Amino acid sequence: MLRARAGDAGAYAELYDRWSGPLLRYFFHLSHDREASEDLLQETFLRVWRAAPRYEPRARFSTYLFQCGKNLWINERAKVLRRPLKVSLDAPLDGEEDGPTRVDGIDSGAPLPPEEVVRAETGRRIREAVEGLSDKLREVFVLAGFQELPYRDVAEILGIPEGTVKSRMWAAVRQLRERLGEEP
Amino acid sequence: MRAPCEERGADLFLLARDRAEPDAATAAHLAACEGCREELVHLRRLAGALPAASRGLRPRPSTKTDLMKEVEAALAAEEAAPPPRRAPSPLLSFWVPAGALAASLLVTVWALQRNGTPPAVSGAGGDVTVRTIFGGPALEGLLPSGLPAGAELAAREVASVHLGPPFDAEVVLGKDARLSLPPRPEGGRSLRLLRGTAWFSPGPGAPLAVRAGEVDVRGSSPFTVELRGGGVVTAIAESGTLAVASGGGSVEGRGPCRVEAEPGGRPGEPVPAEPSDASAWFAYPDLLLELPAPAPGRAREMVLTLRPSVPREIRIAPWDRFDTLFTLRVTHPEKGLSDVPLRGRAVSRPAPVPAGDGTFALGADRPYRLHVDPAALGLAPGRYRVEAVYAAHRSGGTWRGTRASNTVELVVE
Repeated sequence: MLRARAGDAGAYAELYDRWSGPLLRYFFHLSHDREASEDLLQETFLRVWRAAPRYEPRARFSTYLFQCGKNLWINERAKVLRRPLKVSLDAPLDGEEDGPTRVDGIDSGAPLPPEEVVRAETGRRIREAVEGLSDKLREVFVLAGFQELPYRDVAEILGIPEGTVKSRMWAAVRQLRERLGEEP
Repeated sequence: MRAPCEERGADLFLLARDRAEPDAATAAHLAACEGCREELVHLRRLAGALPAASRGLRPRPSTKTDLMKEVEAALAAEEAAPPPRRAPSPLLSFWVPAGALAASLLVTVWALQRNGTPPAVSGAGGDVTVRTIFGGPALEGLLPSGLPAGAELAAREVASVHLGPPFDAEVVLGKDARLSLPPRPEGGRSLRLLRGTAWFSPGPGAPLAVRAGEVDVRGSSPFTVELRGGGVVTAIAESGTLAVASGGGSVEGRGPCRVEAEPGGRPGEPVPAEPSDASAWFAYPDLLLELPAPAPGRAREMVLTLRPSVPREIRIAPWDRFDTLFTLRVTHPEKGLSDVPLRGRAVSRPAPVPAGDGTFALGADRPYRLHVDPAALGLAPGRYRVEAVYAAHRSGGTWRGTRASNTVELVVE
C-alpha cells in the first residue's frame, strides 16, 4: 500500500489481486447480490486509490480495506437491499468470463455430478442460514467465519470490543447450528 | 450430549476454523469437558462446509480492467495537468489545492459536537439537519448528521454539506474552514464563519446571512466569504444582491461583484468580480430535470440537462460511473427524504464524453444531458418528488460546487 500511495499502479494492482476475492465474497454474503457486490468491490478499491495519498499504515491493510468496505456497505446497504435481485442467465456462474452460464445448463440438459449437487445445496443452505442472522451477528460471522479474519481485526473493522465480537460470533454459530442441523 | 462451555464457544470455533492444535490449557479443558469436545466436532464440520457458500465466486476480470483504466486515467491526468500561468489569487488558490486534492476526491467533514462524540453516520433529527452531499466521508466514518443547533463544522478537506431547515442552503467549506451553526431559535438563519473560506448557496427562500469575524454578509444568490488574518473579509456574489456590513457602515451591490471589508471600518464599495480570481469557480451550471413523454416503444426516462448560468462557456466535471457527481434527492410523502446517487446502472444514455483534460466545455448551444432510467433507481412503488444535485470536485481549474435542479414528480409503479 505504501508503494500504491506513491502512485505505483502496479503495486495497487497487486493489492487488488490479493484482496479482491475476499472483498467480493464479503459483499456477496452481506448483499446476496452478485452485481451489487461487483459494484461495491470496484467502488471500494477506487476509494482506496483516491485515499492512498493520505493512507497511514496504522493497521493491517486488510483491516483498512474491510473498514472501507464496511463503511461503503453502510451507505449503500438500504439501496442494494431494496433493489430487486436480478439473476443473469448469461453471466458466468463461477466468475470466469468464459465459464458456464445458467443458459448453458438449460441447453445441455445434462445433470450435474452428484458431489456438485451436494456442494451446491450445502452452499445454498449456509447462505440462507447466514441471511437469517440479525445484522449484528451476520457482519461478525461474515468477517470471522467466511473471511477468517482474527477476532481482533474484526473488532477493529466494526469498531466494537473484541469480547463483543466473540459473544456475537458464538451466538451466530449457535443459531447457524440450529438452522443447519447436524449436517451443514 | 452435554452442552459446551459458553465462554469457550468462540475460541472453539477458531480451533475448528483454523484446524489448529489447541494450546495446553485448552487441550486440558477439552480432555475434561465432553460438551466442548462434541462441540468441536460439530464446529469442524460447519467450518469445513463454509467455503461451499462462496465457491467459485471470483471477481470478474472486467471489474479489474475498468478499475485500472480509472487509475491510469487519473495518473495520466495528474501528469498532464498544465502548470498555472500565473500566481493565482488567494481565493482561487484556495479552491485549487494541488496535490492532495488532485489524487483525492474525498470530502471529509469533521463535525465537532458539543459532547465530543463522533457524529452518527446516518440519521437526522433535532433542529438542524446536516448531511453531506458526497460519499467520501464514509471512508472515515465522519458523516455529520442530526447535529445539534450550535454545533461547529470544521472541514479537513474541501467539503460540501447541505444544511436543512431553517437554512435550506448548500455550503462548500474550504480546507480547514470552520463554520458554526447558531443556537435556535434566536439565531435564525445566520451562520458564523469562524475561519477560512466558504461558499454559500441559499435556497429559494430568504437571503442567507453569514457573520465572518466582525463583518456581516448577506446574499440572495450563491456567494463566497473569505475570512483572513486580522478579520479582513472578502465577499463575492455570483448574482443577486450582496450586502456587507461592519462597524463603520454597510454597502450593497449586485452580483457579480466583490466587496472587501475590515473590522470597524466601512466596507469598500462593490467592484465587479474579476474573472481571474472568481470566474473559474463561481459560474455554475443551471440544472433542469424533466420527465418527457416516452418515445413509442421506449421506457420513460428522466432527462437531466445542464446549461451555463452565465452567458459564456464554463467547464464542468462530467458524470462518470464512479463519481456520483449527481445525486437525486428523493422525497416520499411518508418516508421522507433520501439521497440516491446516480450510479452506472441508472444512467440509460450517458452524457457526452469529456475532453482530454477530463472536463466538459458547457455552452449555451452545447448542453450536457444525462438520461436516467427511473426503474433502475431502486425506488419502491409510490409517488416521489425528485430533484437533482450536481456536486463537482475536480482539480485543475475545473468548476466545483453544488447546484440543485427544479423538482419533478415521479410515479414509480
